[in-house]
Amino acid sequence: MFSLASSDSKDEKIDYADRAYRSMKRWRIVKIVVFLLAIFFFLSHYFLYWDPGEGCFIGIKPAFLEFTNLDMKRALRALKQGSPEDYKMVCGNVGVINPFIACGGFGGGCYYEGQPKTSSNREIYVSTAKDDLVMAMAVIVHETCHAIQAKEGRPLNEEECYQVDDKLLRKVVTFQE
Amino acid sequence: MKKYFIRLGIILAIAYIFLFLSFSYFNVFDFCFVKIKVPGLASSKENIKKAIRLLKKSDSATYSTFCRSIDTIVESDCRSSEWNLNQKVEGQDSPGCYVKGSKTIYLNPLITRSLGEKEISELLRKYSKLSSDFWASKE
Repeated sequence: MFSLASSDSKDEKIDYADRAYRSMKRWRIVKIVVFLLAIFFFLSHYFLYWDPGEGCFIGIKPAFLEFTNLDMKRALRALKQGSPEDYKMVCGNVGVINPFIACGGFGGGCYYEGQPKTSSNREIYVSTAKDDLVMAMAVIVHETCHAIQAKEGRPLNEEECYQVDDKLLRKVVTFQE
Repeated sequence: MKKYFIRLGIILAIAYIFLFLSFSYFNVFDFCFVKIKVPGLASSKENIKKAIRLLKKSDSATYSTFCRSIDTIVESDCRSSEWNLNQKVEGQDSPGCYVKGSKTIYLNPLITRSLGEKEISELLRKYSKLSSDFWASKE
């Protein structure tokens, strides 16, 4: 701690130097903490979907066509409210969403076979989120259906997964009062 | 060099604000902020903004519901079924729709471009009521 009173000028100098050094060190630590927090918030804001209440943790990879991943997160949140059972299905079977264009082409989705059995590692491709909430929701659910087929050791069947996203679309898109 | 970066930053900020205001309805006094997203080329965003202003003038209660229940308008057609099942998409001929679980409505620009402000404001009223009812049922 600081020595407040001293008749020795040499001691005073050392104390002041020590104080300045400590202050500088403290300031540096604050800057590092703020920097790390900023990085954490940046990464969690753009690249993580986290819903601890539902035990849902999904990473969203960066993709330049999306500009930001916020539309993808909006789709997941809308799914949670609009179709909770589909949301649970996604959370339980998908670990990573990749917004990059894959075998489904631009505006589609894709699931590649031969992925790990654990849900935290399973990756689906969804390249539709930008400005199109409905299609993003539908493609997320469709590709999750394929992830489940793969997990259960069944062949990837498009017809079954079209039925799943068709059901979702009919449920969430409304026209009439 | 630093001077040029500052200038570039200012230009980018102005461009961002311009685009931000151009693609949104924004009224700070009413706490009303609605993004207008245009995924395709067709857009009638100016008519939509006029329709929102008309709604504010003509029916303040509905305008208030609209501001609370809607945060995004997507100018695109509605698709309420999977095309790959029967080569047909339901809802595409509808002027708009509401997406449950969100505060997003779709307005079909191919239809709304031939509508007047009054008709568009009527659509906004209808879909914001759907959104309001959905969120009320969740409470």
